[in-house]
Amino acid sequence: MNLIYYLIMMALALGLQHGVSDLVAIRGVAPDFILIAVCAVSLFAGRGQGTLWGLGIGFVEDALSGSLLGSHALALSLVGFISGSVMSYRSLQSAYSLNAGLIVGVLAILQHLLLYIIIIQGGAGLLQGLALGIVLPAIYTMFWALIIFAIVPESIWEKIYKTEPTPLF
Amino acid sequence: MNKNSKPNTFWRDWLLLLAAILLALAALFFANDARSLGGLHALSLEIVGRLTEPVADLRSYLALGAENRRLREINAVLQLRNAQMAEAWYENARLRQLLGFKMTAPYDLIAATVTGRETRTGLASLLLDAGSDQGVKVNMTVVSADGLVGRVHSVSTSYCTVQAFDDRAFSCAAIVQRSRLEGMFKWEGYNRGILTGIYLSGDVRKGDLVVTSGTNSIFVPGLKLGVVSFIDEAESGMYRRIYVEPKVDMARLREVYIVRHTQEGAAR
Repeated sequence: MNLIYYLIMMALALGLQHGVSDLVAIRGVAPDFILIAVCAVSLFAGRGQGTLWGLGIGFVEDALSGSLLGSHALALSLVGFISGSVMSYRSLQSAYSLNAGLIVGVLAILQHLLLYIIIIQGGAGLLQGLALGIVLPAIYTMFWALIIFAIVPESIWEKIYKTEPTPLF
Repeated sequence: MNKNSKPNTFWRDWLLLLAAILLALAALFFANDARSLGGLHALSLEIVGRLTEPVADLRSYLALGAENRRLREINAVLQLRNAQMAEAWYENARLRQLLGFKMTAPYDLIAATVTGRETRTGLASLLLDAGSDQGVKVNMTVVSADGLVGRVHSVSTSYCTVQAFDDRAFSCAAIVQRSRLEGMFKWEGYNRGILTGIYLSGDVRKGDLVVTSGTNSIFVPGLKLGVVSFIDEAESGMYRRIYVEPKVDMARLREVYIVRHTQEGAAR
């Protein structure tokens, strides 16, 4: 069952997001490791599981960050669904790390835009909001996604992909 | 078409998405007025607390040398200040006695370590290794040696999350320490602290210390928020636009204290 791999991915993402991300933040702009983890699950397990994992980890994030309960859940379940729809491990083929990284970047823009609308509600000013709240975190998340997808050996990705999938229902 | 887009899974996936969106929207609209800590909050805190604790321990260990040097310097300054404060306290006690005022009880502090933090733009929260077992409750004030850190947002048995002072949604009643003018501290944009509600004629100068006023009953009065960094005189209207530079360096925060003081005002 590949459930255990996804649990490890999410645990690592939570640990990185809450224990390490401030160390790599540049002027307050930090990468979103949880978004990368949700995209990675969708990459291997498809959009159905991506949606469920996005919803679950989103609720955990809402509870931890003290933001509106449901905001991250909504954004991440959409991210899980879309990433699973537009990519799969096999369809990305040899350049999977580059392709997956770029897709993560686009989805990070979508997620930050949603959170900006729900949580920040435009009060910060349009240009500043676009730069600090959406574009820069998305670019930085994409940068980290490229690194993560590239440095993890392909044998590990293969192992996760070939493990017997956990049935949804 | 990827392996999960087969016809038999097509509708299942769309139904899952619909269910997920409905659940998230239901939570957004109906679950955000709940004050009590739900099972999800407690479980999330426990899991993430345990995940981040080794990282926090390692970071504390690595920062030990620099921290030690900084604390020695602070200790020397505080020794001197403490001597002055002790004199002032005895004088205050004597004058209170002369005037028939009651003495206020000192605050009881719970020590905690920052084990994790939320750093996404606009959101700022801290994860502390103290929970209901140590007597932590929702809305308790969290402080450091430099001033206000935030308020306890949710609590599990061993951990709690704090809405940090630099969270964009954070606001509190504040007072200019020198002139005793009251206003409201809040954040403008992503990173500018401002003091609102001070009339144009109000006596505020650059460098004035801004502290909590305690009038909103959540925060202990007199905690440092920041110093006035800029006063926009060009602003039209009845009020001055006063920018406040925060005192607490959130990035370097490791040890904090939770004040045993709740909204009910146990220590007030």
